[in-house]
Amino acid sequence: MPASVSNYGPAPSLLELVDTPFYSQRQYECGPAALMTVLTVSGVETTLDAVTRQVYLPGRQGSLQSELLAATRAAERIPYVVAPALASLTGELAAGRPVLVLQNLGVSWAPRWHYAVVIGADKENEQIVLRSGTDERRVMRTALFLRTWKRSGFWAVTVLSPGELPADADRDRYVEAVAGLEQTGHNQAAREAWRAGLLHWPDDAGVQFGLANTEYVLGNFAASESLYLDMLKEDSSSLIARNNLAMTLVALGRNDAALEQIEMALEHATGSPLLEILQDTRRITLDSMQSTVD
Amino acid sequence: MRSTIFRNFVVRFVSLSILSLGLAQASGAAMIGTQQGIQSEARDARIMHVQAILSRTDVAEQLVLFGVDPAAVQSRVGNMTDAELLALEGGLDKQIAGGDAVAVIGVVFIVLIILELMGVIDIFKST
Repeated sequence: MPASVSNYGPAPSLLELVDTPFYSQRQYECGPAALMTVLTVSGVETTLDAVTRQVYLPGRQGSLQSELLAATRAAERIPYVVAPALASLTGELAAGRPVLVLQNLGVSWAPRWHYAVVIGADKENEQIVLRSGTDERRVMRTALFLRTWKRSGFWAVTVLSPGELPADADRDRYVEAVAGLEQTGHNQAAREAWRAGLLHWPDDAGVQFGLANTEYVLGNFAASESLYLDMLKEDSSSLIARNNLAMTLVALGRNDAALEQIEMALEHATGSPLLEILQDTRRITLDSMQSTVD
Repeated sequence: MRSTIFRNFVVRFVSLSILSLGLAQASGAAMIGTQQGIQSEARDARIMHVQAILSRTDVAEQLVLFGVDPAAVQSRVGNMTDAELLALEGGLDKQIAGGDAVAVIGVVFIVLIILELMGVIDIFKST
């Protein structure tokens, strides 16, 4: 096991979130039980039956990873897949969040896939504490835990409330997670998450773009206009910002300004993979001018 | 038999309602989505989005076939990202399903059948 994975990280050497609730699993339903645990800690009010309905797959006698992520979004929370390292788990624990992990308790050719929730780590005694299956407090040697976790590709997810940042503040993972929330239509939650991101990474174009797009979807066109303009101030060649600015101006009824922006973008778009989209925007702008005249 | 017909009907119905959901989301196509914008190849992401809309139907059908209550399917596929939908398309049975079941698959299964036919084991006999 490489040290980069098995290192406990800078978190306190003895951690245990003793107040984490425990939901004993029914047969094959470790996924619902583990998800219920982390959602409840995040303040989601739900029931084990409701969560089971969202993630249990009878024909497979189990739950898929992507369904756990989707159900987290359904609860207006951000499923944040942490980096594959023990330090990611201890970092989240130190921030008060237990972490849902996927383990293979069997072997590669006869796997026994199991979801559990890491609630504690003891560096001195080399132990990991979990809410696991029907075990309210399962203590595993760290080395064994890491072996079972490794077989799942170190898959682990923590549940963030909109506005919370992950302990490792990994920009790419955060943007990916919030973009997923936005793509599935949870725009209010996404807006709050982008705003929190913008406080931490004020000049990041990806985060600005995310917030601007979310404001657009929510119909706050003035807010998205000013965010796209911020992006263009930093990088006047950003075609994605200029395209969406033009669409925003159309929505605001400022078709002339929109046309000016999209023509400016098209001037620099020769050979760009975005060309087709920019042309669509130009057409939409012209249509809008036409219908205003009519 | 009757339940098969009913199930097929349900699958079709769910497919249709979900397909229309996806198409509704795809309109306003000239806005570049965040996911699309942060990927280096925005055009690929756009194609991926269209494919994902189509694969949503496939994933929904599979969920019903794997025993999910049709009433819950819409919310389950509706909260998946494009990338997640595409990963599941045509392969719900190939994904890891965490649930403590010890799956005996592939080569192991064939070995067991051979052993069974040779009379070495009788794991498949129902008593």
